[in-house]
Amino acid sequence: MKHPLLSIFLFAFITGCVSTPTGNIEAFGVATVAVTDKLDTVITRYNEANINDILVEMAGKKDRYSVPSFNPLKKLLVANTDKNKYALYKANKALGLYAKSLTVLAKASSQDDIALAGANLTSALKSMNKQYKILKNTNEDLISDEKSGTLSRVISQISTFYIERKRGKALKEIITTTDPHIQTIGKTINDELLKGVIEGRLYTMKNIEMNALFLEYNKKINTTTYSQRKKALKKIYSVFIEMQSASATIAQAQKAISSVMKAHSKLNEALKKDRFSSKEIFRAIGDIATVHGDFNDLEELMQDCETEIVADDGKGIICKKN
Amino acid sequence: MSELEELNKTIIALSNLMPLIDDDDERSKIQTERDNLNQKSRDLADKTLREGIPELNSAIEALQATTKAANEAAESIDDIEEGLTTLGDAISKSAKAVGAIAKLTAIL
Repeated sequence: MKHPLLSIFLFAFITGCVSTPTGNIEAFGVATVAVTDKLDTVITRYNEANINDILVEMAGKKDRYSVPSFNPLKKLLVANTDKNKYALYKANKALGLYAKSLTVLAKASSQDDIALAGANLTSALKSMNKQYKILKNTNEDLISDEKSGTLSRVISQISTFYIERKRGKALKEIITTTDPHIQTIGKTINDELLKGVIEGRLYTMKNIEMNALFLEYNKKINTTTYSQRKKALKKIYSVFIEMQSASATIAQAQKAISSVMKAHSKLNEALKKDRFSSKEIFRAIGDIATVHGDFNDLEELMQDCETEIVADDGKGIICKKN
Repeated sequence: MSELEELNKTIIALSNLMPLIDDDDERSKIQTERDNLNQKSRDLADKTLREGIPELNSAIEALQATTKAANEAAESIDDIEEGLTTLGDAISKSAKAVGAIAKLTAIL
């Protein structure tokens, strides 16, 4: 390099710049993908419950059945494989893919990748110098090993600097543009689909199943022994717990989605001020990980409830709202 | 209360009644009514989950567009690193070619 002072200045300038810490965004993406995976299991359970609902209905009648009797089930199975037509599935999938894309963008061409490419460049320059000396039959370097190293380092640092600026700008644009949509999707999933549809249907379907078991129990009451009745009641009780858990499952799913919305909102606020890292972001992302850890737990709902646990006729055991 | 919520409440009320009725005919009538309502509830839930609401659908489309933009940004960043690697590879290849020419020149 002909101007050593310039190269030193350039190197110091670039290395001295604060790098964009995109680790939080990467962590947000990973935690959100885990939430959408869990929400997928709620959708799958709902589909299974629908199939069970039809079986319960069939068993409740004294009709005789053959293969065509299962046609209503076939319709449901087709719907399951064609999940892309369902708004809830599409919304959840869109959320998951978005989170994955943020993770990929946040870690695209990491400093390690650039360092490796820089090392390859150094080695290539050294090799070129060696070949030059052979060709010219001289001991004089075209480019010394030291200069090869410096040149590669400078190019790597410029690339890193450029990449980080480009990445930071892209992340800021994408997250700030997307935030209103994330809030809309999260709120609709929570209020309209999970609370408005799935919760009520899960509870109703389990209620039907449980009453079918009670009907059978009541009919046999005079012909069974105490042990047989106790065994039958235990079986009914397990369905009762499943029924009561319906609300807890949905409440946990809603909480997980809300934590994603909150963390995204924190990222949005911070990025508008060009801040890629803050304690609030860190805490909000940590909350996502904690919430999605245990998704389907009635006990958890009872422990977390800060108001009062009440039994609701249409929803089962719920945490009373303030 | 939404239509779905009303349907579910009625289904539950009828369902809770059924095990307590001794008369088979009467119970069968209630069961038929309950099953019809349950089918309606199932269909309504399915329709809502399938169609969503306009606000949600447009938000999904917008999210898909920004996801595409994020993927493209990641690809263009990867291209910079790839360019650096390609530069190293090109220099290595030309160095080898130069070496080969030097050897050939020495032989000739």
